[in-house]
Amino acid sequence: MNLFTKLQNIVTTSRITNDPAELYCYSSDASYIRGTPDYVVMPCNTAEVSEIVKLANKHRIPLVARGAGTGLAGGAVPLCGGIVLDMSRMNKIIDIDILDLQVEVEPGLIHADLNRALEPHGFFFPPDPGSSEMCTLGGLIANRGSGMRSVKYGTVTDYVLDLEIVMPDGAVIWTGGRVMKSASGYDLTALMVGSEGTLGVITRARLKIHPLPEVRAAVLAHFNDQEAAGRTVSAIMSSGIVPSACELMDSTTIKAINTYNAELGLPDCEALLLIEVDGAQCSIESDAASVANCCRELGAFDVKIAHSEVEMKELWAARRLAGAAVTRLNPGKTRVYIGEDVAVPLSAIPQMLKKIRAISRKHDLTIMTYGHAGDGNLHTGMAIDTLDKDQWDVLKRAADDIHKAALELGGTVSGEHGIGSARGEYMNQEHGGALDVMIAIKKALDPHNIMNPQKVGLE
Amino acid sequence: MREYLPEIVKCVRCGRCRTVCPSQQVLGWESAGARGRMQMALGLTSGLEPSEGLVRNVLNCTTCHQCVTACPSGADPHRVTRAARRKLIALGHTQPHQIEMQERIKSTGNSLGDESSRGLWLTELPVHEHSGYVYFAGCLASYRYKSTATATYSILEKLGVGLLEDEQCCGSPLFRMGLDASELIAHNSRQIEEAGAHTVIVGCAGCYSMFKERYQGFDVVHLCEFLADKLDQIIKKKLDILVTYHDPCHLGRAYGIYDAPRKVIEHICTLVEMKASKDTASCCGGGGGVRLGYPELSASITEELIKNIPEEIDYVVTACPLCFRNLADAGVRVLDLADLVWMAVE
Repeated sequence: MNLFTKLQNIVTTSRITNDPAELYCYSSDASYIRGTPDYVVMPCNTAEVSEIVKLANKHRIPLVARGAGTGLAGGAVPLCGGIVLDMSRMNKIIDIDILDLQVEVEPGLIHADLNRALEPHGFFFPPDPGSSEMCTLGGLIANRGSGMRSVKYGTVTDYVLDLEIVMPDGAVIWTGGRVMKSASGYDLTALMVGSEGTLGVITRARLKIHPLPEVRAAVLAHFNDQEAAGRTVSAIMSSGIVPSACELMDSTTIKAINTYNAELGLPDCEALLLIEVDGAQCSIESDAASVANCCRELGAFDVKIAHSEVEMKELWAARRLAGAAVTRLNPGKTRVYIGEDVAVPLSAIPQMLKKIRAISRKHDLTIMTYGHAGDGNLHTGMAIDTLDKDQWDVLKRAADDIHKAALELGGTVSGEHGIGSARGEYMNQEHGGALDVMIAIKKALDPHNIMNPQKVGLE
Repeated sequence: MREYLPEIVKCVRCGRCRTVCPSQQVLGWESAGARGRMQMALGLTSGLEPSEGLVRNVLNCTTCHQCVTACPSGADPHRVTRAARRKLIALGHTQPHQIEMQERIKSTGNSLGDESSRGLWLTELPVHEHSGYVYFAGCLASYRYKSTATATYSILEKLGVGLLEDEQCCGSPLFRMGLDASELIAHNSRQIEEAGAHTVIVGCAGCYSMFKERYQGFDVVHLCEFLADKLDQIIKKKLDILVTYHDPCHLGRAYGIYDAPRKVIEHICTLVEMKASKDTASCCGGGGGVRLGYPELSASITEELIKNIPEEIDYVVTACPLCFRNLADAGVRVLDLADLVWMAVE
């Protein structure tokens, strides 16, 4: 019996394909990395995943789990062929447990769908990626993602209580429990979060949830100088007020957002800080005023406070899609996600911004800069004519410079998007001997290297 | 397909269209969504062979424009998909349902293959000299919803609207499926020119977008636009009913006609909006040849739309007979906008 038939016997005919065009659609995520699978299978439950993994392990077939394919580093791209598990049909909310402040979900659930389900209960799941409307929770967990509200609420790591994992031999384990804390044994949950599918397949997740704040307000501060905006971030974060988001956008990003949603009409300036505060009604006014004063003191020429729910929703919706919207600025150029996710210590933000501008000049390439400045995570966006090979070469050299600049400042090559295969080459420089420990863990748990091979710089 | 490369590479593969594409929502596969179709179109420019899966997934797009509206980078998967359909036909991959539609229209001049006279709905009505406006009834109203065509013209003839001597299918079903509609366009254009009309009034969203996209030399308006500023003149009574409005994709998202139908409805009765409406309105599943070629998928998409309908309403009103048909077939109490107006005129 050939492998296709064996897989078919596990998931039925309608949930497997080896049609070349359908496989081609699974050969990329949102990054520039490419690799085509031999089969795509759409499992519906843990038992099916376990059977598929056992089969793959027996025949030494590479296996890559994929959510919505919105990753930016090639994490879900099957570089060595094999089987792609399309997890998007495992998308149920199993349990909303308000008393214990947690939910249990399947990995294919769309992030925004979880928050829509929690809202009537007065709760939310705080990690807030820009791709909220399309990314899956499994992918978010596997890439240790976060988003705009991490500055106050933390990354996805802080919200995963327990994971059901199908291990490389097909065994099914739970890594944690229903308790809010545990000092019992190795923290396998933390190990799995951010492991990018190299150690197992996430089939269930128990996640902490948080009460929705009573009210939110946003401060928009405009600067004529990017570094002043960078210094302001550091000052706000040490002022005693913890904003729920602190986003920095440069002039190119502002143009892109205005092109995507002209009604927002953000003013043309060198840098914009969008700082959100949330909490109780009684304190929000004074918190917003303190943040606004801090911005003025550090050089903002115009500061506004937005309270309207509609205005704030529109602002955040536009900000979430700013990365892709840059493509609208020049019809001949397309945004390529590369070198887009560095993070540096807060105090190094002004230096990093300066370095990015120097890299932009060096390569004569417009680089838009935006990101979650409140936690030092800066996204850079570069758009090229993707049909021009020379422009690709320039792009890759600029991305390399950005990664190296962040590492020189004590930063990381990925704040929240993951390593995948786009950033593996920097792992040794960033982690040194710790990379050897990661490699040892991978070998111990996945001796046949079937789980998402050639990722995270492990090979 | 290579001339579409600049359009194709505008897609940054962010996946925003995944959660709005009705076919992908039902089928699940990456290939069944707008991003997948953009990828397959890219493949077609670089040697990807048209497999069975490629052909099926290029053809199972309902042309609902959800992807176009949602795309942050300004790509137009709808246009690229149509080009891919033409390419597949050129490569000899015309599918049985496409051939069937071609033959129906060739032999009868209508998309239903109905051999009876197109003007049977008109038997009891006077036809006046027109004042530059003509009513284009469309295939579905002429053959399947004759009372809607009759109601529409009963309203319009009092406003000095005429008819064409020999109306044929507008060509939308062929054009959406990637087939050649040039003969129909030439025929209807001649008819309109010979009638001396400056404006064509349609009651079908598919006809509307076809006239807008592929015809030249005259204006086209949908019935709801034409009536919106004449309501005091024609509406005789209010109706004590509660309705919701389904925005047809080719009227709403494609051309931004959201206000006129609502103005008409609210002049007559009480309107309750669906959970998703206007630019996020759900697709009925009927367009792009999907109803004909992939009826199960089409029905499943309708089921998704039905989840949006408020429970308390008496009718769903729509302004497209294809949407009407898909909703009615699924058991929904549905009214064409023209029928609603007629109920308030009689």
